Amino acid sequence: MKNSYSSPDEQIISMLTPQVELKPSADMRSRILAAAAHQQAQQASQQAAQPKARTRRLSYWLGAAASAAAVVAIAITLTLNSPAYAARRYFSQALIVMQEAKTMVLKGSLRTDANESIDYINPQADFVPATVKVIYDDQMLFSIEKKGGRTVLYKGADDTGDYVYQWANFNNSLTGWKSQHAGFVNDELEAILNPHLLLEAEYRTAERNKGSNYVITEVGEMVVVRVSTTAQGDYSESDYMLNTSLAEANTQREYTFDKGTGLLQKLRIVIMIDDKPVTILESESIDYNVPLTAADLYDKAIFDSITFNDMEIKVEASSPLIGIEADEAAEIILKAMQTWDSEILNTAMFYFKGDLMKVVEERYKGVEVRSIGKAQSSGLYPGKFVKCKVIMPDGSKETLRLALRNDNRQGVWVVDGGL
Amino acid sequence: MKLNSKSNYEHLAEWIDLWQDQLFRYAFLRLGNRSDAEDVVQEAFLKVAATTTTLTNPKAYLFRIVANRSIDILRERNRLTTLEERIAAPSASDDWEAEQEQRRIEQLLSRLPEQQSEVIRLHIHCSLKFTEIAEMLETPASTIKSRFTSGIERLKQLLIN
Repeated sequence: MKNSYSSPDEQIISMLTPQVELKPSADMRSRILAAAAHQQAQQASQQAAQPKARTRRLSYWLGAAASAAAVVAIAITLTLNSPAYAARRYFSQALIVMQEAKTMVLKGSLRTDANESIDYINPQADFVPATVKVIYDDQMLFSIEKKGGRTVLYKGADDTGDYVYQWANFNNSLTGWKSQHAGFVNDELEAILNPHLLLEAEYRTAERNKGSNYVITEVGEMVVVRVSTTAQGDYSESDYMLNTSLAEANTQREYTFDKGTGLLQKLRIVIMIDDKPVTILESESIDYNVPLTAADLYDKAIFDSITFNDMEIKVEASSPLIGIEADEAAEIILKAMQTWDSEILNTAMFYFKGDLMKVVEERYKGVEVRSIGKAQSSGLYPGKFVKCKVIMPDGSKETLRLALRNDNRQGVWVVDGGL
Repeated sequence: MKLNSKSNYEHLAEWIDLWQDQLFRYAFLRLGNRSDAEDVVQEAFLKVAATTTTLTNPKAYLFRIVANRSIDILRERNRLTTLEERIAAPSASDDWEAEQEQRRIEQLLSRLPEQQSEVIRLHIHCSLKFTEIAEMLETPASTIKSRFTSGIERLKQLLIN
């Protein structure tokens, strides 16, 4: 900008002028026009048939089918057309009041395999009941239990150390792991099953406002905030991990807040598969300030019956599984299985302890490698997937997709799944 | 801008093309992040589009909405400061440099009375003429010009002299 100010004025004006280019996002124009089209349609529909529009809105939330376009249009009107900001307001209000909560118990259902990792979802699976108990203390204590399957527990530090415990039920036998690094409970997992953290994550997502859409609807004394987000991660090499976790799926997340208290009352997470909604997680109840102590988080008798394996991987620096590519590691591991080379397999199969290791040995000892494919990444998975063609000990031919990861302190490749 | 019988919706694309950059720049430099700034600008355009009366000066109307809404958000932020501070992660945003610029400029402007800093924002950041600002703020142009020069003079004394 050219001005005819005297020199000191120019200096001040220069100081007040941004030294970086400020441009709106490339899609802002189209977003505004799309929102305007919905708004215009809604205005027209309200003028033409006010009672009908109201019935449609209510009927949607009572479970009847309504078109997504209509809902979007209604929601935009209700939120004063500032959806991300309005959503943040509800998330932040809920966070404020939830800061006062001392405990929380969430009961609900998750489409998953009961014994798989806590953050594993499977749209084809049946619902598994899950319970989350949290004590908001100086340290947050919690348990997350998939009924009949995997449990994650943090009960605080004690004489035995400061561990997060996890156990699962394989062949009617409980296998346990423990980690000092909270390795079982990643950010996403905590966010899925802990509403407080989930709302914090949502708040940040709304703050960034990239790739998410917000629809807000009022139903009586409740406000429903629906967030739609596309899958995170890169699927250009392989879509194997698509729809295997919430972050790696196109999702819609619905939060129902009590307008009076601001508290989160319901939670529903839907993933979109081929544009069809599949409910993955649905809360049955969320209760706050339930009397709860660390001892109430778990069944002590069950806990005491489990031998927990420490998850810290420690190997010699000369291990053949360090400093190589994932496909090379896959070959070494499968060849070690042929003769059951315990030295290599005890490292490579670190996550497979106790009875689980016995099951793997029974099935794979003597396996023969036919070919090893190229290692591929998928989604947010920190490791690689390697397709391996093998001849099983019984002579049958199989294709395995080994999940290998080396994101540990020593960079050693270990098997994470696919057997 | 001359208005014809078209509805505000029909003008919208044209108005976006004309003013979205200026409005965004104003909102960003006021609010300090892209998401809030784009929300506010979108809200302003939708509000203008929904207005059924004929607007004689849609540009002034848009700037007024963006300015007022920005102030609302800033007030609400102050109310939620504790929470914001608690959950604010270190910025890893693509707009990190711009956010730093915004903070630097707002720190300078915070030394001025609001009436002066607002005129400076609209004139320097949005390239609005004094007459346009006068129309937007419904204040004589001479007063607007005087607020601007007084503001610059004050900063000059504080920062240079």
